[in-house]
Amino acid sequence: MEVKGIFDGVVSILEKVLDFCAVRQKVIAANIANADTPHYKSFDLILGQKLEGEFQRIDLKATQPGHLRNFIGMVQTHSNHFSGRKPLQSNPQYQFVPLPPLTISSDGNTVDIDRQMSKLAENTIMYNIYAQILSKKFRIIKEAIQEGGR
Amino acid sequence: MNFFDSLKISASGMRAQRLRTEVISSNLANINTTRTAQGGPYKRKEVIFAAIPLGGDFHELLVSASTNYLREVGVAGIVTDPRPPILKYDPNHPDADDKGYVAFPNINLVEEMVDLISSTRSYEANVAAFNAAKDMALKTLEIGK
Repeated sequence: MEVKGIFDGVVSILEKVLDFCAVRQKVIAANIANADTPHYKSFDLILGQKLEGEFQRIDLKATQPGHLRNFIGMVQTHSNHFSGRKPLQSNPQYQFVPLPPLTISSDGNTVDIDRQMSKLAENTIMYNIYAQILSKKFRIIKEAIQEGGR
Repeated sequence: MNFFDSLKISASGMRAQRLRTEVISSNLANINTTRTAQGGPYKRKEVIFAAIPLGGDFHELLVSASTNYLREVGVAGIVTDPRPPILKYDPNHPDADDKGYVAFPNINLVEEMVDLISSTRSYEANVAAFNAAKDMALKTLEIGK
């Protein structure tokens, strides 16, 4: 899903990170559910190269005065310039990576429940952070629409 | 993005652990049972877990090849412990054999209790994962409020 117009690339990126956290939640849930399954190998989800690239692109540089002033109608005159409305066309690449076993278990299971629980907490917090940022982002736009003319 | 898969995976874990708890309860309850429908003393049962691919419709499986890694947990079967019964000398017992020995189930109380605790903890871990997914889903609804 792409958002255009008054929404900038941040919204699009936040969407993708929220997606990533949601998929990672599934992975962690699967690891926890299989904590007692013989021969189950635990794995984790990491972000591939592409989304990290997106993060780098948004690293906005004001190399000349006045760059940020007309943010909405900004034109790209230099390769370093950030195009505010450019849609992020690439889908994030998730990579499933097996986790190295920290403990040796006799049934071949590599799930470390403590590690999975801490990941679960971390993932939930990160998701809430991104959701809150996105929420605030929309609130700012709403504020601009409602209060800007007063 | 949907959280129902997460909830489904956690629910499968809870279901599996609950069944394990039931089997342990059965073992504990029958620790002194000398008569069963199959004849002989009660035999200790154990649950075998298996990781099974997360079910979805064909389209879903086709499109998201990446989610092939996701496994929910299922119960492959309930197996009977092959350990021989414990023989106790009690000639007055109605189930005693010719020599006066009674066959009792070979169930170790400590082993069952440890298993029970482990099962309870695993269940709790699944509940925590379930609640985390639920909180995330509810947080999503707050976007745009």
